[in-house]
Amino acid sequence: MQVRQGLSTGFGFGLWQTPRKRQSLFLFILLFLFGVIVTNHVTLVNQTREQNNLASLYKSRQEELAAATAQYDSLKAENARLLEVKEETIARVLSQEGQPGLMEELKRMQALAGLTDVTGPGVTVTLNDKPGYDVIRDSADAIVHDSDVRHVLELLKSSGAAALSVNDQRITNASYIFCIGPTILCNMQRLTPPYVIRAVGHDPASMAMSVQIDPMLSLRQTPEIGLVVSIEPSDQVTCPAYAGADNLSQYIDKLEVPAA
Amino acid sequence: MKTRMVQYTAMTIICMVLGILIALQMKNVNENTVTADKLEELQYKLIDTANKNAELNTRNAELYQYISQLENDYAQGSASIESIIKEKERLAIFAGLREVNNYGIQIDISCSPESLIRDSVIRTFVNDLRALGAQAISVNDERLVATSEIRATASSIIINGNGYNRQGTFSIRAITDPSKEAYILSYLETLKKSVLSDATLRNDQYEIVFQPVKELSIPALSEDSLAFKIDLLMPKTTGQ
Repeated sequence: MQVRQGLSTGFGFGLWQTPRKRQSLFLFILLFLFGVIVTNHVTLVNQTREQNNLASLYKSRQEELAAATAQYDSLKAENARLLEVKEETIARVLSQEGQPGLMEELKRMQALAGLTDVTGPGVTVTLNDKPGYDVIRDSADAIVHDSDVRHVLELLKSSGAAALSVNDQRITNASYIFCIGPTILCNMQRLTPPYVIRAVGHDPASMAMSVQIDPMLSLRQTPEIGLVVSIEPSDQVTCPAYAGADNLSQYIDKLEVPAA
Repeated sequence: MKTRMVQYTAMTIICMVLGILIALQMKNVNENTVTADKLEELQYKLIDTANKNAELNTRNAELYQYISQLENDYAQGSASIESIIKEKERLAIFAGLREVNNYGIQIDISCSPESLIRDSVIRTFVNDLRALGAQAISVNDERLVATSEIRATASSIIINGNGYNRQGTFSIRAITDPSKEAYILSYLETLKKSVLSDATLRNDQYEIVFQPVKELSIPALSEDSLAFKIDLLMPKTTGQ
């Protein structure tokens, strides 16, 4: 009762004393709120106009990207076709010249350089981030880093891998694994998880074991951290050829071979 | 009475308009999810793809020209195998089967006599040198190829199947682009600092010295090396 009296006399300066005054106060509050919202709305409409420009620009860039990606796919297919034609033409020329040995040597060099598909016994190791990874709640060890991919590649090399690939990118002498933001760069291609690492080698069981017993990977797979690692030995694993077979100059143009 | 009705109606209208405005604002806020960052990321992807397309276009044109030349020669019965031998040599160089030399960087890594050099330190420098564009790399004169292992055992580091004492100095040599010397040296300095300040390596007291070398030589790797497993690499012919 005292509080109500205080409101109507002290704090409210008597405004609550009559219904008319109460109505006026209510109307004042309502109109004030209305004014604030209208101002805010006008501001927002201006922002929306900018935002709409951003959205339409985004949409048009998306369309351009789709067109560029389609063009890339078609150029890649053309590149693969030309490489095949080149191969066939070289074989015909060498056969005409009576040089079948040179063809064999060429094929051998291509294989050693990583420019041919390699299929054989091997292992597939898949590294993936913890499902539902939360940047605040989860440890940074719960996601795959470039160093993890390099680590698995080293384990596989040490246990006898003859050919390696990461997300179908063949590992060659010029390959490196480096992180760029949330993606990993390999052969100038941005790769995203899951990272599927394939290795062809004489002893798939030994390669699989080297990853399975690795202390660092074992620790990272504990429920507290949650990194996902799957290991699958198999009789048939394929590491695709390096896709830039016609573009090797950039990797060897500084190399001088001493005269024999 | 009439005045009161007008007042109520006015207030109802105001409240309704207010409600509509609030609803509109909420809708706008929810719809506007495109941010400048997202657009920037998309634009980056677009530029990246456009660059790749331009590069592939050039490569395809070069391939086409090479094939046309070979086919013309073949049709005239005057095929020259020189270009094919050159092609084979390029592949051999890329595969690491030829000794090569040129300007490069040499990095010597050692640690205190009580400690052992870790394979991870050598691998870090090797990977980063590759990322810096090194075209040929060797560690203690072992040419590194795609399948070369750098693995520590109790007292040695195994490279291409050969062991090197972990208490000795490991010498990494790399042929790099001389025009990028300043950048590469500054990058290596940062990398060196990060290795020296690593808490897990501090007790090993690493000493890392690097310098550009006007002319350095990197040996070839033999086809018989353990790093190559030619029997697995060569495609199987029918009947094998």
